[in-house]
Amino acid sequence: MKRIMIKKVFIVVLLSFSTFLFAAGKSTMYVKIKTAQVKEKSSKKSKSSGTIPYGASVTVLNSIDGWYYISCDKPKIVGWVASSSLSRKNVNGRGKVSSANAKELALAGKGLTASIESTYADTENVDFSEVNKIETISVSDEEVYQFIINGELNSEEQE
Amino acid sequence: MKKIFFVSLVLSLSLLFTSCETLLEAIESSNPQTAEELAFSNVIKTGSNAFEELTIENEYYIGRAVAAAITNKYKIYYGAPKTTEYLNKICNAIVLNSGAEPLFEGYHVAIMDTNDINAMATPGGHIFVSKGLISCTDSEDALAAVLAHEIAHIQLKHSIKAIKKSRRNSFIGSAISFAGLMAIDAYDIPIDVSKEDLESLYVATDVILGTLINSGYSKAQEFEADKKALSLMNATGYDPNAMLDMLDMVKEKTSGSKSGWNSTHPSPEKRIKKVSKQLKKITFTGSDKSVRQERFNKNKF
Repeated sequence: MKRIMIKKVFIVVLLSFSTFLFAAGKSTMYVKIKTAQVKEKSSKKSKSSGTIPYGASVTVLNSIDGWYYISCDKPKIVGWVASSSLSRKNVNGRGKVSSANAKELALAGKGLTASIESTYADTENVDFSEVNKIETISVSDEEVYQFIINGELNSEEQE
Repeated sequence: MKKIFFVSLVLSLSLLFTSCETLLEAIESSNPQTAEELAFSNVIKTGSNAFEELTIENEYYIGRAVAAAITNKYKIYYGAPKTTEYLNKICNAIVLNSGAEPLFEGYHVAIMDTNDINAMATPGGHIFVSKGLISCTDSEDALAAVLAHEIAHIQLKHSIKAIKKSRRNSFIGSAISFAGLMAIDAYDIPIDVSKEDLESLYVATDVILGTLINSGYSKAQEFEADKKALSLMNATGYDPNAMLDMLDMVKEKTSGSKSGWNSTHPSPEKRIKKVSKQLKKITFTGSDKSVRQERFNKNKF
């Protein structure tokens, strides 16, 4: 009787653990940077297959060394994303605060998002157009890697 | 008249209490009475708890506000797109090898259109380097030293730390903020915008700008940034000894000058001494900087 009980408990524990692993392996995460690059392989050197914007939710299907293989519905895309681009916390809705908790969130500075920038620009008579222009100055991962190779520099990924 | 009296009182009290009493206590002991005095007092109280847990998104928007103020003060040079692209490639190569968490919108390097020696960075990843400072470099590795130093300030979160430090003893920052906060008070703020957030953004921007343009980071933070820059350079494959080349040229060009650079940074001599000491602990095994000289000569204006 005791043996049967132990076996049953073991099966339940095993099933629970398997369910946990399955669920963990397919967890939902959120893009926490402005634009996450989706790569064909788990490497920054790899060709980009698209991008996912801030706040989008993705389903994690697999993981290797600092990379997640994900599936996203909006936009529709699958591929590898650097784990540092994602967060388990839902980043959406942080900029929208109700009057009831506005002060509390303000104490942590968490309301400092895009929603107040235009008001800030008006009150302080500040022009953001030059900053927007500067932010268009960018180089692709592929260009950086070529630059690294040509200059005999290091890439953080060792072959 | 009352406003002038109150600001004077704040300044006087802050002078008296700088080392042993916070500004918060000074404000409370001055017993604010008018609506303006109460508003100012409330912002300082709010600010004393603010900025404790900023996300990279928050830091980005603070950085944008700082960058906007910088670009309102300094003209940006777009006359050398090849050089600008080159600076951004060096910057990204260093960031790639830094192992640091990504910034919300990455890093962007722009050239300030001045022959003064100057460089600044915002917590949002905006890096500004002057034409004058670029001219103090004679190799890609020396140019990398300039960028690595600014990247180090960002990754060590020195400007965010400056905001947290300011609530303790920056009476000058608070007095400047007073006028700005009154402007916010008079503005008809949209319903979905929190006045406290707006005031927090104003104070954060003001403090960081004051640090970048007037007071500079502490000497300890400057030396910390130099030390980290050497490590970043080495990790990327840039010869960290090139930082000495850059500092030697800065020393030559700023000697005896009371330029903004000298007022916001430790003297080049002191930096050279500390960097030289740190270099003895580093073994560089990368390619000689000469392999990158041709492209430096092609890309530098």
